[in-house]
Amino acid sequence: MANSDSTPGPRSGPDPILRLVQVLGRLPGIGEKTATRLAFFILRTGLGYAEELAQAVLDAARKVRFCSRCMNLTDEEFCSICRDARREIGVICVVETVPDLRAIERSHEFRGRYHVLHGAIAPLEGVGPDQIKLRELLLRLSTPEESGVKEIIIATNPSVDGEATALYLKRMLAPLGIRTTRIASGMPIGGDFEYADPATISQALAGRRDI
Amino acid sequence: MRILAAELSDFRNFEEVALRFSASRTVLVGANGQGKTNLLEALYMVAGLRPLRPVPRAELIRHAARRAKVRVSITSEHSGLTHELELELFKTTRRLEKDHKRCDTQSFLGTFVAVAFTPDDLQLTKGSPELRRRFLDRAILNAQPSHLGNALRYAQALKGRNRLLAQDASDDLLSSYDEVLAKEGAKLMAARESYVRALEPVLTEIFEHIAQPAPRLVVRYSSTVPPEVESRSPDALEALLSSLLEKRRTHDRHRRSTSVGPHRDDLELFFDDRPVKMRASQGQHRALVLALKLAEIRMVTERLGEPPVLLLDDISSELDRERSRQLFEAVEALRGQVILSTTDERQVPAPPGTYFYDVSQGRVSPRPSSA
Repeated sequence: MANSDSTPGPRSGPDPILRLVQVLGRLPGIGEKTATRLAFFILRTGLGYAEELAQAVLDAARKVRFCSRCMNLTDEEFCSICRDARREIGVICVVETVPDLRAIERSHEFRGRYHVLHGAIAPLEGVGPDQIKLRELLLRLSTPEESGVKEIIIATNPSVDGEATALYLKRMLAPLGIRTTRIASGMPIGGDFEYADPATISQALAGRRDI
Repeated sequence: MRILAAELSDFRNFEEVALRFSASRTVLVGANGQGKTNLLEALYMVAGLRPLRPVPRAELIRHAARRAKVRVSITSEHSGLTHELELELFKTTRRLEKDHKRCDTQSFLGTFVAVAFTPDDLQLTKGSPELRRRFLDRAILNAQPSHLGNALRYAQALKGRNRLLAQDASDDLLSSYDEVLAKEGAKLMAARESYVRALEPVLTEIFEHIAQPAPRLVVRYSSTVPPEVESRSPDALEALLSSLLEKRRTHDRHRRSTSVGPHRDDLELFFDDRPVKMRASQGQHRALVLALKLAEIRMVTERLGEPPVLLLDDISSELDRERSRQLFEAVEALRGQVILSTTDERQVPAPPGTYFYDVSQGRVSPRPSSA
């Protein structure tokens, strides 16, 4: 009672530490504990790092946009893959997400170009064909620049929604008369049968071929 | 296959419980509502990742707790190996560990195989087709762990299609889900049909032994996809189901639900030519239910090369004296491990080596003789 003058009153804004923890905690794979660790790391490391981090986040968020052609993420009109003259123009690989595209790029096997849907059709989550970048693909294929496309490889996930998206895409592409293919699924190379799950093995058996 | 021990925390009404099981028989004794069934359910969850009855996952977690955990150690005479299985249930997710390492559903399932027999099963022959589909799916899962994945994919595709029907989605979009649905549905139907074919002779033999005199029993997997073709391979079924889905589309659009597929199928049972549902006496119903469960157990045993763990939930009070005797006779002949619950221990035979636990208000205490 004695020091009522010096007792802090209600604060004017949210607690900055808690706010930082909360914002970091919204990142995928980051729980409250990790968010707290990250927040204290940032605070401990000092203002220089905090400013660099904030600037990097802002720069990326402001500058990164969809590639006008394939919907990959880029800071220019066209992404580095679409700008690369060495890529084959006859094949387009359709993927759900940018990480999927990166995974295929890491294999160095595919020399064509991509189209990123940014999702799959998912009726239970209210995602219809108009909520993913599917119309953009159809528009793209109707332009003269893309008249050399001979094949569309559909590399959506083998989940229920990914399969349905692939089948829907096949239907939409049918009138264009372009060959559509679906990536195979089955045993991973370098994987042992011993460790493969039954669904993968059954898929691999169903997709067997003559040698 | 035997459970050596189990630990539960925050599962249903149990805060912390640790139990050791007899190699032959363990009896859980207690009045109704004390948690006997919950104990059996915890074990059943680890075996099949499904509760005994379909309930929201949150109900399995003790009130006010963040998560439920069940850990069991099991041993297989067939392989000679002992495994530790741990299941952690959170409100929206679950976490599985096998031998102290995180693992996925597919490698978790099949390690511990249990067959449950509960009072609900007594509705099997007269209740809704849903009960018989569940009986088939659970029996198949014990033989074929990938069946769970197929069933889940089918359920997801079905929900997706029903949502699209409700949204008046385009034919193109609906067709895409039809294709997925037909593919997943065909796998489910093929698995069920082949299980029923294998079940019939086993079931008939057991039923004739149990029910004397026994009417002539006919068992049939009745499918919404009619047996138009000889071949019931997944490919042939997929083509049939696919064309049916297309034919029924207008009808389904009106009803806003899917009218064909394995979610509408049934395991049909006949005495001579008449459905068991209409024809059977109470006694025959009980005999047939018992025969179905014993046939399921025998088929699992043959596949595993050893008997599964049997979980019997207060069954003696539901079966008449004669059926109860036959059940225990069959169980005895199997020489497997049995864990059973009862309100009245005098109703269950307790051979030497039986462990007794008293279950009361979420507490479990061993009888002195149970070491």
